[in-house]
Amino acid sequence: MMKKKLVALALSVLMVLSVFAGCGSGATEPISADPNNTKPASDGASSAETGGQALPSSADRTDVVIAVAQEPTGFFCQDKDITTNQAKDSPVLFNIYENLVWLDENGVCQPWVATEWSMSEDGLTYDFTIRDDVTFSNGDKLTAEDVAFTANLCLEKNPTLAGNLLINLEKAEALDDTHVRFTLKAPFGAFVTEMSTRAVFLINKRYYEEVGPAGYNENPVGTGAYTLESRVSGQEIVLKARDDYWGGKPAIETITIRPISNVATQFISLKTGDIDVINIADVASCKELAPDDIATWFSAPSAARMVMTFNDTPGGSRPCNDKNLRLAIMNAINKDDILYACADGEGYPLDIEAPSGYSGCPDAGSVPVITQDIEKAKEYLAASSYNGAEPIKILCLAGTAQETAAQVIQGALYEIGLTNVEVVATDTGNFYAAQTSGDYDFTIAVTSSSLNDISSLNTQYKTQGTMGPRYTRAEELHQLCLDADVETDPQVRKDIWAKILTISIEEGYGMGLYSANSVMALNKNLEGVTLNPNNAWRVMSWSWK
Amino acid sequence: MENLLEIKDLYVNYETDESVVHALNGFTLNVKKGETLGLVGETGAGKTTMCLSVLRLLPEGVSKVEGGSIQYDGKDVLSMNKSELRQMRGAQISMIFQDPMTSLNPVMRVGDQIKEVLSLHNPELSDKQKDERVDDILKLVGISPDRKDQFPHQFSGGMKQRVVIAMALVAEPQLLLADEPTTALDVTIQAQILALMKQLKEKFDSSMILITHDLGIVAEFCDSVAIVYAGEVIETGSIEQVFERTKNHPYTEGLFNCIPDLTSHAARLTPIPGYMADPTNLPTGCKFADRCGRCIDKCRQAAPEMVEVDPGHFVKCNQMEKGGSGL
Amino acid sequence: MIKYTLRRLLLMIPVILGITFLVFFILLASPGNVAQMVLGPEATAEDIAMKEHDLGLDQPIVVQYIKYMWNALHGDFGTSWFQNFNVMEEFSHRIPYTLSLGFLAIGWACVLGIPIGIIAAVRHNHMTDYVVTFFSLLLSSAPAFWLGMMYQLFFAQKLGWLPASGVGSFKYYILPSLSLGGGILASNARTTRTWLLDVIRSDYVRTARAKGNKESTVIVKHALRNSLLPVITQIGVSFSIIMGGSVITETVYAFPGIGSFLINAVKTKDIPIVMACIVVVAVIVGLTNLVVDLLYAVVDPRVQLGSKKG
Repeated sequence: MMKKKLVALALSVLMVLSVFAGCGSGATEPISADPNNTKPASDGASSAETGGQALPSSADRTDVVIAVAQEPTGFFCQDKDITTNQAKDSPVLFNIYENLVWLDENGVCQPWVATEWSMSEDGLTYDFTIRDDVTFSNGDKLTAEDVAFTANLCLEKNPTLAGNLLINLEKAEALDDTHVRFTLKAPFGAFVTEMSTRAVFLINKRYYEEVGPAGYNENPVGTGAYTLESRVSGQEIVLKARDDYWGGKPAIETITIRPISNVATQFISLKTGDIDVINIADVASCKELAPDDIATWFSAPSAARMVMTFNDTPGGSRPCNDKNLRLAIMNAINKDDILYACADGEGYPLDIEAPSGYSGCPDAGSVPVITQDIEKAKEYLAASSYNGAEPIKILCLAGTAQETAAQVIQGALYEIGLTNVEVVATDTGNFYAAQTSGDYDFTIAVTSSSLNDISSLNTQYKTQGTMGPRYTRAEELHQLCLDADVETDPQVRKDIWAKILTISIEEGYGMGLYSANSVMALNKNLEGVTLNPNNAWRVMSWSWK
Repeated sequence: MENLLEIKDLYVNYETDESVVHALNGFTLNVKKGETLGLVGETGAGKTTMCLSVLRLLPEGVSKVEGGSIQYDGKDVLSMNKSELRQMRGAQISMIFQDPMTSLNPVMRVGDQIKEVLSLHNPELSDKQKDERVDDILKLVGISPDRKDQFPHQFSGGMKQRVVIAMALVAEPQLLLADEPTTALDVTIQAQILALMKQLKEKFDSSMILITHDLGIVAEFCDSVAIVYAGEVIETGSIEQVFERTKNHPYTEGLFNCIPDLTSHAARLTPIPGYMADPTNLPTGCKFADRCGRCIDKCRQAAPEMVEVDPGHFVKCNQMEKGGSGL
Repeated sequence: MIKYTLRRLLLMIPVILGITFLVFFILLASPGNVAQMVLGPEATAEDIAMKEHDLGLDQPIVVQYIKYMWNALHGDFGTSWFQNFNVMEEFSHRIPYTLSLGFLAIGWACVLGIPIGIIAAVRHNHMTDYVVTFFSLLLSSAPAFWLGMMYQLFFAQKLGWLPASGVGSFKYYILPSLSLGGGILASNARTTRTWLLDVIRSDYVRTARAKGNKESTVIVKHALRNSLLPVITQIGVSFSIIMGGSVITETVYAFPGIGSFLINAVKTKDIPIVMACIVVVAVIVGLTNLVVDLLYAVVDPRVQLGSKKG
């Protein structure tokens, strides 16, 4: 009897201990990650061995395996029935398609398929000259006709996208085989930048007319260095390099894109060599990589930013209809705290709502910057008529960094005496429903845009859509946006935006919180990997050491 | 005549977490060739335990043979190895269990279950020959051979017991252990089964130990009888000797007195007072002492010895004298 | 038996109709305008209305349901609302993975679980029994994702014997099927052990020994057949659990089956995908249970399917 009890006790202890056996080796010093570092932090070590698995010598490799959290499913951008998403589909899109221009690290447009361009005096006409040695993956030569067709198709078939990324464009026409003319309804300062977005991924007119949008999506044809070779749902997408690519055949011949949604699995697979790159890697896991692992990581500024937007619906009766309360809340927030809680410091706090790399951003100092000022916050709070009865609702998506931010803000508000604050974290469906019904005080959302220009803030301030901005001065802001769009003088344009953002700050409509860096984890032996703010990296510049 | 089975002074315990059950306490018994011995006793006396001990089928881990010996046909059963035991079981000694409802494998056809015995012990027979033997034995027990592909649940209680008997006898064993074979059946069937068993026994010239608590059956079918009480044999002798009712153990007397007499005008039955001794806590001295009307001091001090009151008639009681008469 | 099978198959139809309608209804009725979710926050009211019309969302729910099921009956499960592909095509690529994973998991559960249960029962009250019970408790208590991650850390990362994710040759199936089948393995072992212990003590097993059978024959031929009956039922139930549990395992191992397919679709309310998955899973589970019931009748002659007697 005693014997049985002893045995049972021993086994229970063993069971409890085995729980701790799973805890692996502790984290070691992270590889340096300074925000301006865009090159992989390799240390010259040759390919390492992990555990019992010997990895193939990397110098012989011509393939790369990339893990993504969501599977790319949209491969044709110019039709509204085919949904594409910048974050999700970029790994495929930017490797099989090309644009007229390309944005460098400083946000300056560089020639790509186009060699040069010019703008007319009144800013209503742009002429582009294109290369004559560019071919599509089906062998057809790229002509100006294709370029014009692409732009016109987008205007016609995907007006929503065109509305954001082809602002003010009226039509495009081919002047001859290598010259294209874009005619605008009204001037738009960032028009050339727009030529680098997915709205104008150059497509083949003849092929499109043959297969239509669905067919094009199935078997896309672009001018890029790679073609879509095969696609197995949920498993992998394979891109193959083109021998006849105008820029020369790339060093990496095969790209395999694998959807792996679980972060732990991503990192284990990276360490064992099953995959080579993690696109959009989890910062915390990156910092746990050991110096002698075969994997390393780096980060670079991106266009993604977290913003807070208040609900000031005219005639509404929510607490945040009170301007003083809004200003009190804004001044209570410590952006650094949020940055560290949500992105582990990988990023920078925002002074204005747009990332610093965007063209057309107002000059420094022209827009008031809000930093944490508890005294000021308390003053505003005292001046407001909020009595604390109705809870202040922070709306955000559950299980995301936004929820973490909301919780940090909740803590900050507690400091100034606001204790009745509710974090409403829901799924997408409920989120939209709440926004439409107006049952919230402010939202925390992450936005990004494909257009690296200040005008992408139109989505915030121009009245459009059913979930449009809810501000008492909405009309005024809307007009200012329209004015900015057509302004040809860059400085005047900046000033108009300065005005818009100043109104937003002074009225307490919302503010930017922080901009998160793009983070990528990868095998140490991969060279030439650079990050791009819009996730628009191209594999053709990568190679194995 | 030689003894086919000799059990001498057998002690068997069941060990549980709480206590030790002394099931057999110096059990001694002999069975001759061709003899039908009736084994009588209350529930819990140790009759089934004895049968299982002979076949070494006691539950593993819980049971322990503490002393004594079992000799079958001159061989020491307790020291037999597994292979010898397997040869013995089913072929030389067969057992018919008490409850026919649960003794048969519910998912196997009855014909196959009988045939299995032949496959184990008569491998020299061809498949066809085995089938013939199965048919024969089924006919013998009164079951149509057409039914051999049926399953046990398709048979009634009496038929099931016939199948069990067929299974026990098909290999023509020398010794048949029948553990209350008719207790679970109604009286009319009972008579049939017993008659059948007697018939087969004579045909195959087997010895049989028939366990029962019905003295009437013993009188009808057995040659000799042994009375079991609290794990030991307290009286043994031929039917005539024991049923003469002149020199019996007090317990046996009590048993006889329990049988209602249709000719008398008794208002009440005469039971034996009390209960059988607790097998986990047996008294020293005679185990029947508490219930015995003729108990004397000597009885409680030491266990009585077996006394041969007549040639071949043994009684374990202090009141008996060798060759003498009882009180 | 044929009649019984036909009857069961017919009974499956109302069950599937009921399940699918319920799911359809819940998905449509829950908050969140699908058209808006598809188009994104910048969509105008006209855009949304047009999209709703395209997707048929402006009709009453029952009409939508009937239309959907009618198409489904013809094998057309429509096009995904969020992703640009034909549901049936994608589905047919993915379902073999989930099925093979599921069957393999049950395979392990039987091939390893049942013998372990037998050993534990036969060596009852010895050390072997305790160890076996301990490990099966451990396996069944461990959550599937934890088990999956532990396997990955140990076998893939530390030892490098097996891949951590993805598909390919047979070795890609080993870890996922083991972690998926872990719980079932444990319960198979426990059930086998319990029933076998029970059966071993029964009279007919004793009879089998009394006939002179070898102990191994007694266990395998006589005892096991009787104690496997509840295990068979359990396997039928397990299959439903496995179809559901594959969601977690597939996510952890990046296994392209319908589990991960389904969960992403539910989050985004992509009804064509969800419905396709539910219908197929319901059919599979229904069929599996039918097969198990038939098997039961084959193994145990006492079981009578339906009422045979007129």
